[in-house]
Amino acid sequence: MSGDLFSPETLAFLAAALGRTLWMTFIGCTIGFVIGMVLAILRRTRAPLLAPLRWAAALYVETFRRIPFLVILILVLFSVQAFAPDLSLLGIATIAVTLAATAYLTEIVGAGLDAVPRPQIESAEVLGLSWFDTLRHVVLPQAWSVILPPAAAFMVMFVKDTALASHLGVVELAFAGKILVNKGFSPLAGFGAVLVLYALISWPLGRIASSLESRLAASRHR
Amino acid sequence: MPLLDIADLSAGYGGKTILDGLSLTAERGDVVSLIGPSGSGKSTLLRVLIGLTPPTAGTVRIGGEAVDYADKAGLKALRRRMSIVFQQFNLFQNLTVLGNLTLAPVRTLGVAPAEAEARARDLLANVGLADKAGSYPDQLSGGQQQRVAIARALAMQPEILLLDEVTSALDPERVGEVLETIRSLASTGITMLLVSHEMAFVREISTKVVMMDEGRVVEQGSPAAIFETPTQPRTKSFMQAIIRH
Amino acid sequence: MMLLRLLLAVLLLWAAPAVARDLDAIRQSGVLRVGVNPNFPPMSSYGDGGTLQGFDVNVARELGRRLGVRVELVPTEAASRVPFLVSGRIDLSLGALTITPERRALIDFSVPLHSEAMGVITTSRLPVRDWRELNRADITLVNMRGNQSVSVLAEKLPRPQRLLVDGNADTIRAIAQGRADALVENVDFFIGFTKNYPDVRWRVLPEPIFTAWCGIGLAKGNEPLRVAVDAALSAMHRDGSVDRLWRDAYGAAMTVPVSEDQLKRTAASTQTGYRFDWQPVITALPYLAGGAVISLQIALIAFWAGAVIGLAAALARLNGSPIARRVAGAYVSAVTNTPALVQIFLLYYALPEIGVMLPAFVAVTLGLTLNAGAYLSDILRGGINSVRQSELDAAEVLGLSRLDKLRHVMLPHIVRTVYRPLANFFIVLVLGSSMAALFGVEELTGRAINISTANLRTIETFAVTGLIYIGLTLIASALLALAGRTMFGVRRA
Repeated sequence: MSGDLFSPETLAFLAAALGRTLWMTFIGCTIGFVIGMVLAILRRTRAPLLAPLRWAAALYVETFRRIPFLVILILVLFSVQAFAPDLSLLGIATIAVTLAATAYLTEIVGAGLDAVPRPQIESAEVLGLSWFDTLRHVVLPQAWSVILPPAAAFMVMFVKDTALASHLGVVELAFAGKILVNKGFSPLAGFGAVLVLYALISWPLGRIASSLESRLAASRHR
Repeated sequence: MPLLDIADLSAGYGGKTILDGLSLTAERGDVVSLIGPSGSGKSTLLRVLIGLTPPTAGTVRIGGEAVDYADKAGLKALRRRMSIVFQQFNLFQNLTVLGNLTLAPVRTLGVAPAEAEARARDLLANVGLADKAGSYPDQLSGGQQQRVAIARALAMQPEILLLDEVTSALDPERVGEVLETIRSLASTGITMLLVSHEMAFVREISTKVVMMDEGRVVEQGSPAAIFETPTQPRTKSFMQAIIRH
Repeated sequence: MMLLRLLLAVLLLWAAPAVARDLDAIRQSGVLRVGVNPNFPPMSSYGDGGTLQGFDVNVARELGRRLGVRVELVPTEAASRVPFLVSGRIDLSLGALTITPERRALIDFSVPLHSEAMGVITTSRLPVRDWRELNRADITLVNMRGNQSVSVLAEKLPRPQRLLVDGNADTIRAIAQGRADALVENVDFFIGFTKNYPDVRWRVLPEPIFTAWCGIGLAKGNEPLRVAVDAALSAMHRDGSVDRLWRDAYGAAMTVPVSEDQLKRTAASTQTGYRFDWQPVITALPYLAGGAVISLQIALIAFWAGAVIGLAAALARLNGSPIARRVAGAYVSAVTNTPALVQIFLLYYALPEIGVMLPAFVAVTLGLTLNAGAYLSDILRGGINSVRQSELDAAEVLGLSRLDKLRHVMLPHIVRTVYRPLANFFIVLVLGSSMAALFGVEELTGRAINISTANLRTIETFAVTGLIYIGLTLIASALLALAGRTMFGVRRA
């Protein structure tokens, strides 16, 4: 039942799969970035009252950076059953992406915060700025240009890692390749088409990420 | 009653003593210069005074009120009366010159933005940088950045201004413009405590010169007394070493 | 230890709220949720219109009609069946669920829906007439993970090597491509896939090895639902509905039909809900540890082979001829812009088309090596660029030889710059080696999948597997940091 790889049905099928790949990556990494930002800032507080939270954040980051994404996917699939038995597989995979991305992005955001020179913070302190004002008006604006390029690069990289969600049965790009091959396309055609689609997404996104890096490096002060 | 009264102040890091029971006073309008070999604790004294390094013993009084360095509110109150200029300027790189001058007054003193901006423009005119309000720090020379840093400290309307080797990081031809700014500042009657290696300038501008060594005051007095007729052997040897150059 | 306890606490929290729906709740909602395997033609699979179709689908709809509810189909992989039943995500599980004592401990079964007659599918390449002749070490049998046949084979045919794959279609492909010689499975289920390979001369050995029974799975203790399903299903057997649907799907009658005698053998259950049982996975710890060794092997081979490729690519990009530069650049961007998983799909499934057949271990390790080469070339290039021209000038002025310059000026810089990224990348490779599981390599994750599909203790098994990965990478990180400090003077972060 080998059909035409470029038939409208096949193309629509691949486009829908590509959409799921991008959805998982974008939603997962965006939420992961926001939570990662909170965790990174939390880990750099000094209040004794927050010590247990700091400890929990550190534990979280260390744990999720040391478990393969495939194992995280499987664990999330089964543990989510208790909370949300009706959640779609795509939703489950997106949670797994969020959990993994949060851990890595916490480190990326943290490195950006640490890159702001200590004297900048001391200056804010002697001018009587509050912790929050220092963060908002001095630290974050300067950390931003250090954080964004690797965070964008991470998101582009994760587009590829979501291929593992095919194991859960999410019909994303890699699984779409498998389905095409099971339908009778040759493995070279089926997987090759999928490989090209990944490259077509990843390459321009990667270029955007690195141009972001050089642009931000050029205008350090803004 | 002296405006600034430091009594038996000690400080250090990790078991190492840097300030060792130091006492010092300054009257309103005084320009007090701290001199001495490197490692004598001059810069640390300024960091302790502004609350960046905690003291281990002793008291600091401003206008008769003891400063509580362990207390957040105490530090906040302190920094409304005292401000500091760093050797490396430490201007906020992400803000314009104007932003650097208005951020703290608006956020911590509660000054209205329009008023803060008007004051900032006055201060910039005073340091000769009225045309640089919209520039970013990395578009300015070191001397210009240091004058902005002085203006930023003044924007907090402090009674006491600390200056920590403010010309050490500058190109030699830029030192003059910063010294000129400080000179005109001294004539406004603000109380200053400064650490400097510019001996001719110290001698010219100070009302009081303090010789420090190993975290203590060795000797203090008028510029003429310290530079011409020092009594302590440590001061004498320091002066001789300077003159030989 | 603290970590373990915390993780266990989190796991126990999960256990509490899982509740399967009873018959009243199902009738009230008007919807019966049935789990079917989406990759299992002709039992159930996606048709051209994107809807599920097949024997199981039709049985589910007929059951729903008789119970007076609408049927909602939920795609369910083999390993997800039990957790989905327990949580109530699905009310019934179809998909050739063999009735076994081990599974009865976790879920309840209806009366049998159909039989499962184990037979042998092979090709004219293998000259055997009886399944007993397959018990030879030079034969490779392909099996689908999670199927009952895996453990039956270990008992009845212990000698052949085995190749585990994840999908029904993969088993027949493995034989067609020559990776395996025969499949021991329910012939009815698998023979359909041989149509994808019309050039191969397929054969089915006549005598079945044994017969098992498949039922409809339900959550434990859901008695009214089980009784209602049993009644409806028995009626469907007696009035010939099941036989008709089977013929529609398979074009022939069931090899061994379900007898009236079996419809009477129903079993009530007592226990409800899911209870954690760590014993099976703890017993399997040595087996998992063996898998961890294989994971490390894959990571180590990929790292060192990748380092050689990466160094060559880095030097080519920095100092090579224009052609070498372009080739190396094209290699790096081709590899870094596509998923390693799909690259390995190509190496494993597409290369046989041009006559190159790589075993799963080799295909996965090669794929990871190619990836490592590309990423390490970026790291090494950064290291070489970190050497300061001013120091090279100083060395030149001091009259150092080329070798001395390399050894005393360049290498120390390069090592200090690249050591930490290299160490981090090794950890990435250890985690990435888990991909091998999807190709049947029995490394740590592969073994975890093996165990959990057999004992159905998925959460327990993977929680422990996660902890093993954490331990493994923590030890690796600590050793690498120690080596960096003592041997190369690399400071802490």
